[in-house]
Amino acid sequence: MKSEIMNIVNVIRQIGKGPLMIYAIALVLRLLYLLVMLPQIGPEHIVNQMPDTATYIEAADYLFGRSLTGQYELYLAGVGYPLFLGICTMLFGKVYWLILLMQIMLSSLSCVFIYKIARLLIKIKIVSLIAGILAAISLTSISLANALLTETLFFFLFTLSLYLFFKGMSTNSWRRVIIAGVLIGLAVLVRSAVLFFPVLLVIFAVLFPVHGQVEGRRQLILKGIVAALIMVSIMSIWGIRNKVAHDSFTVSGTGMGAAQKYLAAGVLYITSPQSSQGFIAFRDSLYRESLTDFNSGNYAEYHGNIRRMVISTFRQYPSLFIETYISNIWDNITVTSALHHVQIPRYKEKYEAVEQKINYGFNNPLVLILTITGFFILARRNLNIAVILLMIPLYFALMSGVTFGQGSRIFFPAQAVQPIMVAVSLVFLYDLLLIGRNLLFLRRKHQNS
Amino acid sequence: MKRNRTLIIAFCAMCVAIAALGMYFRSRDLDNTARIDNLTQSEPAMRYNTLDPGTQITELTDIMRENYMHFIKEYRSGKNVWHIIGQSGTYWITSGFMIKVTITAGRTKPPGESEKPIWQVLVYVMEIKSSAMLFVTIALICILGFGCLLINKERLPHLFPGQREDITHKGE
Repeated sequence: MKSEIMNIVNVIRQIGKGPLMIYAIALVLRLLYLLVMLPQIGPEHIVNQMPDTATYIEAADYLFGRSLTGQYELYLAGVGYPLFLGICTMLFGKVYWLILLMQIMLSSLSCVFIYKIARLLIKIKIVSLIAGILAAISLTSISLANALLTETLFFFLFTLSLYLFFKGMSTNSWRRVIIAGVLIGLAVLVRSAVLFFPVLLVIFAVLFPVHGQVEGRRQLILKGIVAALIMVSIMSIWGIRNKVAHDSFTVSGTGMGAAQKYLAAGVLYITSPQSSQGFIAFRDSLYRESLTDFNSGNYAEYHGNIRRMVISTFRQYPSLFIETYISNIWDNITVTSALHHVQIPRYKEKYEAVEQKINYGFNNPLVLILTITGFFILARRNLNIAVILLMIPLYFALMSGVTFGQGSRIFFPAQAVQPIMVAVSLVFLYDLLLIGRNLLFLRRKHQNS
Repeated sequence: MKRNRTLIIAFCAMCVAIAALGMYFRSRDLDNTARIDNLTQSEPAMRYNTLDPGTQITELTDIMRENYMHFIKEYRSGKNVWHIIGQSGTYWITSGFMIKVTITAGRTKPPGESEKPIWQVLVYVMEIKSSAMLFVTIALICILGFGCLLINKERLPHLFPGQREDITHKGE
């Protein structure tokens, strides 16, 4: 018995107090949220929180042969999350709160990986701890962990793969880099937002500092290329499957669909004389026009129609298109979490009163400001690391420009590194306070003497 | 000493530039709000039929000014068209939206010739996003960025450990 306790103590020592504390905070907050949410919406309504959930469930049922419909949903969503849902429902049945429990555990682990990335790249314990805690208390992360949406599984795979990639870069480990390539390839299948991430992996390898036990620059670049190739190979498998099944080489149909439904439709809406009918009605009328026969299973024509519409809109109104794209980015990178309005409706009035006071409508620039400030400070410590960290939110910001009005979930993947930069800024502000206090102290001392 | 003086002058110049930018953004917001054509771009939010349009419009104007927005100004653009411009917050810098309300009054044909004319009062409301958030973001990034890049590393002991001077955070 005593030796078992000692073993547990040793394991805890090996993991470290910091990660354990972050995991515990994240887990408790997410579980509390679930406990508050479930009685308010009812366990049977977990699937009705967001319209996308129905798409994933239909795709999962089709994938596991439980339904004949759902091939279009599978084409839209990609295979990753339906596969996860399908395996979970095989294990637990259609008890969706158990799937949420699994997501809560994954989401809490993601916070630990953020701490570990910070430890690895910044090497300041207090910054890493604050980063982990910020990730743990993020309302977007907490609310998404309690929704049947792709984000939590994607975020877990993404943070884990980033950690393994950077760890592999800072040591002589090829194994970690290869696993990172595989995991980020799987992440694309869950959410196609990281479709162009292979380019960034190679840039990271070029920028990653060479020091200590690490091999030369050429070796690092080789590692980056290998990880990128593994990632491309994994996503290509599903792309080829879609090409064979639907004559459309794509990982998921949502990307181009979003560009049509939000970006191109947004531009056309501004230029339309019927703009008083409301954006959603206008967008849906455009969407209906581009619909083809989905039952045939051939989505190439549909995909082609969408692509042509997006390109023709850009050609017709290039400056307005770019303006709308930038405006969407601005909206997405500053938008605050709104999912709790649906998940915890009973306290809506209370937190809306607070939100109205601290936000600009549904937006708040504080995290963005602290992220950029963090970049400035990190640039003074190590410019390459600062650029690597900034490139991740920048990438997701550029990707988010094709859509809008979906709350903070679109820019959520940037939270893989944003808490680190925000933590750096908070420590900087604390140091600034200390400077002020020291100046006051010195002045008083001078007066007394 | 000379460096400190230069820094203070640079900081003051930056603050003046930020203030000027704020004034420009605010006046641009007001212009954009005034330029909104509520009558063609939006549907009426409220309709009233009344025999006494004067009282009705005065009441509506007061309600809009006091309850719906933080009032900035009002003006007329025609014989029977009134505009009210306001913002969502107490100050422009805290406002997410600029609001424009347009009230029109039009005479409709009475059913009988001897009856008094009936007036239809229509209220149009439109909101546009203000530039206040963009301004606050630019201003804070400039101020914090100034601090980040120009404060000596040794004065930031938690971020640059090993480079600290004899000054500690306990003020010793």
